[in-house]
Amino acid sequence: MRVSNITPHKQEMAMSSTRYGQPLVSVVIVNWNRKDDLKECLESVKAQTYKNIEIIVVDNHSIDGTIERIREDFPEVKLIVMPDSFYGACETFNIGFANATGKYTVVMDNDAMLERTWIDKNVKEFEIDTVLGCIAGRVLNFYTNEDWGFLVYGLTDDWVKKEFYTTVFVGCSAMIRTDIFDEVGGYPKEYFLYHNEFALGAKIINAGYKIKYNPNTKAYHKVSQTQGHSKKGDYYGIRNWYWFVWEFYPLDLAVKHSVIHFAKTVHIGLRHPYTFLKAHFGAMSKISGILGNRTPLKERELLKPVRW
Amino acid sequence: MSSPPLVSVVIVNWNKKDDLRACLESVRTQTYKNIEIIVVDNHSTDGSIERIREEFTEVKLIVMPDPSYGACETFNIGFANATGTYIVVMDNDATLEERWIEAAITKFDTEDAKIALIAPKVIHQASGKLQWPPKQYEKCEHYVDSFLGCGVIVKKFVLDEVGGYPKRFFIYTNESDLAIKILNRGYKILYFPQITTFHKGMQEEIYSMSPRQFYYSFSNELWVTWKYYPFKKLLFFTLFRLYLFTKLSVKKRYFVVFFKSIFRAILGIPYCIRERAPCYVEELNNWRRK
Repeated sequence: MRVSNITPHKQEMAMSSTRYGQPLVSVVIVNWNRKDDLKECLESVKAQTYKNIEIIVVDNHSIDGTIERIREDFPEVKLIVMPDSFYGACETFNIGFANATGKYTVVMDNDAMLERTWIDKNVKEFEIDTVLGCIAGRVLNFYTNEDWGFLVYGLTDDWVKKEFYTTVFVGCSAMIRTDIFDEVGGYPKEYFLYHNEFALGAKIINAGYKIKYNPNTKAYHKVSQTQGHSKKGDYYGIRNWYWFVWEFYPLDLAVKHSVIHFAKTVHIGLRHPYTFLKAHFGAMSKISGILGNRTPLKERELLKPVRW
Repeated sequence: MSSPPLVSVVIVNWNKKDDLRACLESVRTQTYKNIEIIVVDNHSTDGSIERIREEFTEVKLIVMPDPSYGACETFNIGFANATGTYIVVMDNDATLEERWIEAAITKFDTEDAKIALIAPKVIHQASGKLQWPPKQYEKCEHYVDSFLGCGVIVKKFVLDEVGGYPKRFFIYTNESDLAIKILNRGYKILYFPQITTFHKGMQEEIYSMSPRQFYYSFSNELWVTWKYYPFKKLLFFTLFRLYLFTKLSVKKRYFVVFFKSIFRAILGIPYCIRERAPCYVEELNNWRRK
């Protein structure tokens, strides 16, 4: 079994912050100009049956009145305001993680909501299973109530109701052991956004922890009705996937998935050749560094549930 | 009488827990009471974070996820989280005398509303020598074009207007840049000799620069010149700074750093052109008596 890497002060901190016999759970939410979604999100956290919670909101310099609303309506929230809006989601989440003092950290999007027992159920899983590093559950589309989360990652219907270990989690609602961030360092800043969960997931596995899919918890995500393909989104989406498979997949799979990814994104290249080329150049520009620190995932079994 | 305005004290820390304690104690013992303290910690590993959480529970602590953030950026994060009417910008190795904030606020109330920033006298703690301003200006109040960022007080709305420290500078000379941005908006910066900040770090003379400080200061000073000096002064001051830093690099044998810094400065030329806002106020390089 894995020897715990918790430093003494962290252990003490986690113990001293135990209330009602419950360890403290930090909820980290990143926000940018979505005050109404954020309000519903925060209310779903406050309505949790689990009570020992601290909430940290990192605001990427909203100008829609979010900041004032949080200070007035949610005074218990620990708010961190960024000085401008040029920070990527990876970086703002990392700042949130760095300020979390709980034993476990819930990673949450501002357009997601948790069912009332979400935190309670997941903490129980952690307390039973000491090598568990991260847990994520079902994510339903808020508007249609259909399963969304793991389908996005390429899971078929029959997986959705099963419990299994995997290498990824859905970033819109997951719970992670806080001391893991000291060890593996949060989301990779250079990704900016997209596929950052894959990279963090792989780092968690490589550090010797497990990631579990828990079919018994439900979160709701406001899936954007007009999921547009912005050029910026395409750029990061294409580039980061290469970075991820090159760094973390066994060699044969890395080659295979690079080819598949190229074939799948070629249609973007037809519409936006410039973005497509730029993304490939971006991916290539770091290839030597990435191949240098390659840490491929050893357990191929775990990769199975995710088709991609 | 209305209640006194809230003053936010913004401090940036990195691995200096004992200095930080002295600094926070000096803020705690201020005669002025309506204060919030914000510490931005650049991922210290010496136990600063735990100490603040234990001993200074009133402090609003923001921890950065890694130490790669520059002083400019971490200060800006502190400013963004300040909710006071005034912000005290402080180094973790500085301390304030007891009446510091009270005297500064009174000064703001009684003086010209155009004064946006008050810079006190800075004294080197160990030697008792004057660090700032230059000796000949020590005695009386002046309108100035720069300040030493180890302990000054500024109006929050002005800081919001001009946008804080320049992130690209990373560290050093950032105060000059901010000062000129403030002057460019028509505000004034006052040197106020009646209050004193005590500063531990930095030697009393500029010639004891470390290579790192040389690297950042040299290119940052060139950037300030290129961003803000009118064409009439630009050439002269560029040459003047080149001369000063060349002399220094010869004396200290910082040749590699010298070229690295020149290279950094040249890479920043497009940035300087993009941000160029010539400053015509009379204080620039010519401090005026009030």
